[in-house]
Amino acid sequence: MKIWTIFRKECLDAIRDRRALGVAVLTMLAGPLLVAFLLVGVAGGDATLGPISVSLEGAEHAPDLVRFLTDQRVEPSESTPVRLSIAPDYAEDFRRGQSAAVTIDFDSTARAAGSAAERLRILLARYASEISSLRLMARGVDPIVTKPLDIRVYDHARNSSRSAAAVSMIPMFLLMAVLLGCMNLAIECTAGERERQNLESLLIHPVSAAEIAIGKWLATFSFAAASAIGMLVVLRAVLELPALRRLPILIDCGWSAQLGLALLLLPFAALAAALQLIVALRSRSFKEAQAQLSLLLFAPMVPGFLFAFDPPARLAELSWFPLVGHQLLAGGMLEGADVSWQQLLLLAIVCLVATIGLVALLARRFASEQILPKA
Amino acid sequence: MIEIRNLTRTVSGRAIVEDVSFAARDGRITGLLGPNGAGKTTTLRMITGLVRPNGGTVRIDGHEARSPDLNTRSLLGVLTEDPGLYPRLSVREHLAYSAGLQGIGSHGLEQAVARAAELMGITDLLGRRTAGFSRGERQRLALARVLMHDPPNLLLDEPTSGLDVAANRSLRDLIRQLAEQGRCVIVSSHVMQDVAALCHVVVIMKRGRVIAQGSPADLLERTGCSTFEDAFLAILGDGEGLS
Repeated sequence: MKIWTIFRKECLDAIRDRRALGVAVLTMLAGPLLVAFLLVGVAGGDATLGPISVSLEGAEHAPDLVRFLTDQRVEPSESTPVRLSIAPDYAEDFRRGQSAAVTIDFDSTARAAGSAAERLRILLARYASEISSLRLMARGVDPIVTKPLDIRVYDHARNSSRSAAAVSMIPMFLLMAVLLGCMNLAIECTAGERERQNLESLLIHPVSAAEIAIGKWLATFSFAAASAIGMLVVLRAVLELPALRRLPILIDCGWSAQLGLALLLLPFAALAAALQLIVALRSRSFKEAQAQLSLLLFAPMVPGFLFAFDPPARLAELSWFPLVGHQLLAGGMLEGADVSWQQLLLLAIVCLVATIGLVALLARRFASEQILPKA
Repeated sequence: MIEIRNLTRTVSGRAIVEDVSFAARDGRITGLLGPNGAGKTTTLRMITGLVRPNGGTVRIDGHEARSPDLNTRSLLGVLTEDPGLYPRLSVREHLAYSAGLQGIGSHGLEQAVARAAELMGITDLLGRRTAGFSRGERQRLALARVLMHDPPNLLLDEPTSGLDVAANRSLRDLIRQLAEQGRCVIVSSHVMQDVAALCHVVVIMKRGRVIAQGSPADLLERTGCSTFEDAFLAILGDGEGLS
């Protein structure tokens, strides 16, 4: 009953704090939109996918070559950092069976120019190899002698490596949304209360420290959870955008993945709320608490750094650990892998046990004389 | 009725409150007077149970209070030295919050809010948020909040500090009224005049000890001074009041 009173008051106060609420909603939108933006940009620049724009110079000297390139989706264009120049004596050299000069000219710092130039070079090599086969045959030699190796390359990645990098940011943004969604409330109802001298006015009521701790934790947890759910909804909406649906990338954001992600994030929200409350209650002022909690915001990035040095497979032993496990499982779910319910359950239990411990600690802090203002 | 006996509180070997005893009777206003750092707030916190005494007892209406004791705390209405308000909540929401924490259910709520607001003269402020309230308005709301559960005992820590003359006087009248209704009121202050004008009994503290107690008239007589300020300084000793 008194827990409910505290919960309701904290929520009401936080909802009326329009500025803080605006920041929370903005972060909820910013993560998915940033990922969408990166995906569109990456896929647009991913030269394996679309036609290659090349500015052609001296096309009239090599109509056959130009026809071949056009068939291979090379599009003549004026404004492109990749230029193919065909020498004026190309036709003459070609006819006499000598090496005819073609030059690829590009700026490797320009976006996507490197891969476009590389694709163009491969196309030219293929054309050259076809021509040399024809010339060998004309001289009665089996062209196979010039091909001692038959090289076959299959890329079985469902996403290109760069779009995979963009997708792998989604779990980090989800975890950050949880932390940011409840950060303001966590500070407001602890350090903020101490700063405004509200805390003693609360403590003089016949309310136990445990009721205070649970009420405040419940309100903070609700905001963290709402933020996580909100971001999942935004993420799904963003991935449904036509610009992204056209891309050959695979992100599983169906209902079962969403449910799995929600079940993954809710225990994390419980833990994040308790942890932020504990840290914030140690501070005497809002600013001090804010400074300390902004350090906590870096925590979701840590697994990403670990993955960069150690492949996720090797870190699988750590999947019971909050943050690392959350990132691994969320990443798996988004890639459409089967959800390991056992791992999900283990992670939830770890989070909930830690949460109970932290809330108990919070109650002890609320009962301590040290949080009273100096007499 | 609040009786405290031999109350002692030490922090890392230093006595903040030492062997303090006095009784505050119902229908009376008892003033706790002393310079800053005399141990007034700590004494009040020990009565509330926010601070655990190292020795001595607190009895509230005959029940011994052991920190933290939520049952005896219901018998108290406590106004803290700097009663913080929530700028985004309305006066009504402040009162409802306090009522909820006191265990007043929704059926008695409207009545309790109306009664406390009327008593403190803030009925027309009920719907307003407290951001931008004057000090007088804040103090009236804080006091109304304390009265939500109609407590028989009131502890008011520096209730008049920072108020202008008019607000100060009207608050004094309100406190007097509360005592006349039969409540036991303890008021702490470091301003002798406030206490003298308001209290029936004055307990003077210095460095954690009670150095004098009696009615204001008693104290004047005992020191042979003509003003309360002189009497206060005479009791404290030279220059102590300035520190």
